[in-house]
Amino acid sequence: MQSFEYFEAQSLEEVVEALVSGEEVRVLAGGCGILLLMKQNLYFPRALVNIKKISGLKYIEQDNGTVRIGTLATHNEVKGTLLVAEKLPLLSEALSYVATNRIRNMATIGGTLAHADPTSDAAPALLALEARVVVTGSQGEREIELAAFFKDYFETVLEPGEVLKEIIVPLPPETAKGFYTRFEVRKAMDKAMPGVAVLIDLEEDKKTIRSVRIGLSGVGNCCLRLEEAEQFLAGKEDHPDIRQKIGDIVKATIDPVEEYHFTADYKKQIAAVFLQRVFAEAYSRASSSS
Amino acid sequence: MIFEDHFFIEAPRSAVWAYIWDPEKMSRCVPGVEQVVAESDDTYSVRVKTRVGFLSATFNLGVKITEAEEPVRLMSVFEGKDSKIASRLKQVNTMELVDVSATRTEIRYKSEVTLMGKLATLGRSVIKGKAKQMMKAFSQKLKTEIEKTEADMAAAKEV
Amino acid sequence: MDQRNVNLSINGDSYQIAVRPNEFLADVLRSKLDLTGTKTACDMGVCGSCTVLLDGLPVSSCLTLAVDAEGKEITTIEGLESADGELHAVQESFLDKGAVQCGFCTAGMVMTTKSFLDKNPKPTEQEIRQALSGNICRCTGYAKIVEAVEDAAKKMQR
Repeated sequence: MQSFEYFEAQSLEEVVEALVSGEEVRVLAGGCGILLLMKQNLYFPRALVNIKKISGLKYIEQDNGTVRIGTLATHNEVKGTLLVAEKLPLLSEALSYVATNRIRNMATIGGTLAHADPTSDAAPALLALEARVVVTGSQGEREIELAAFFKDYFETVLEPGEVLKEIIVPLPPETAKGFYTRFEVRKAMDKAMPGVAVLIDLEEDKKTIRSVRIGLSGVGNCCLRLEEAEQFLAGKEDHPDIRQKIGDIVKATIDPVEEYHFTADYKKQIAAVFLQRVFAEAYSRASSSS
Repeated sequence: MIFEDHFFIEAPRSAVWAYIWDPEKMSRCVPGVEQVVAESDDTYSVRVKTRVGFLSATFNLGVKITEAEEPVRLMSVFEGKDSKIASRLKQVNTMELVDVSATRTEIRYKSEVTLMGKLATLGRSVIKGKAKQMMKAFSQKLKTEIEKTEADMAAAKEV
Repeated sequence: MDQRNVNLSINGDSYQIAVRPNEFLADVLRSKLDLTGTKTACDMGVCGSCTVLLDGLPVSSCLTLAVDAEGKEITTIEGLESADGELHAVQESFLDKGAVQCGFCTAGMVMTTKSFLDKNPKPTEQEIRQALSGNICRCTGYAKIVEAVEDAAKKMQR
């Protein structure tokens, strides 16, 4: 395993200091992303700053109408919290798909977002939940909507001296229900292609859509929100025609790349199929809730 | 991986040919190009740094024009490796120039890219997606440079 | 790269060793501490053969830096048998049911199983298979392993 300069930060200020101390310094959280790439001799950072020794970054708590999650909270810690299971079940559902239990014990929620893997499971759910991230750097703190956070393959809008500190998830209305699933062949370690999260809130008639949020992964170079479909669906009732239409929208919106077993066309087809399935399930959950 | 596309340049075909026929000029349009060195009359060494997010690769490529049929068709080969990440790249490009009008040319290109070694393990869709982005950036830069050259020449003539 | 001293608490014992920040727990256990029960195969966190428990939670020790294991309770396969050498129920069941062939996946399977049954003492077969889905076996076809886990669950309930 290659050598690197190693910093162990005791505070976020120290992290920022280390990040701006030179070129190619990267934050090390759970390590499941970058240590793997380093082992495979694909990535050669000059220095790593380990943030796991910083206390006070693992919280998962309710704060007014939001759930605030510290960047170091692991996937299993988030998934296993009663607060999340009760108030953000869509997130628990998505997190249960991630890799294996071992990785879920190690990988942090902040790390997975900063890694910006376009086949993430957490990202589509957090996108549908309209999460925002709090980032700190030498210029101070800023909040970024998750929908504006991902830029390209493994690339976010984080500036070189910035570190992700917290994820804020607004609590959806009690009546809103969601569903996440992905196309997969294996029970573990598969990559989302696509992964679809849908969160639906219905009017009191339990038929008309008040609002819907759709997050996608594995459909291009970033995880994204399907805003055109969200706007189209508002005010409508479930119907084969509207399902057809959202399938058409996703096919027209995404720009997937062909790989060994799947042509770009196939990926578009399957994105439409899964979007329709997830929409149907989320709608059903919302309409049958009391 | 095969990439095919076409784009238009606001310049006469002869001007476009003059530009792409020069491997040094063409090399400078490659996204991430850091250094271009002439090895001989028809081969150039190009150092290119590509990035995928926080991952980067620096390829030392040899660029050579392999076939030329003035002013309609040009074939070139970019080939080289990044030893640090044990990866090789070979790209065979065919460019066809179509006369659209006296001031407009269409370039139709087909690039066959083979990537071998560690970088290819990142995931084919990531590699292909990035390569597609780079093709577009290359075409855009080529168009901008040629049109700029045309504009400069036109301005010079007016003086 | 400079070494630093770390204190590792493994199976209730305290070890003070010098490690570099780029050394992984799996390699330190095997090469520096002679605890070779934990295996490395894929070295990527996928196969599960390197599974150890950190504060009771299963992790891939091939992706865990040794410096990050400091301050935690590390449990390896060597730590499952009792002080007087009595095997853990999971180990017994694996032997009784013939769930061990080449043995390479076994330590990881056993550690995963122990941690799983501690939390879910009465699992269904589907839950067992789901729990083991991150551990790869090339020999057994998994059937005997699942039987062993069912057997261990029964034993541990007594």
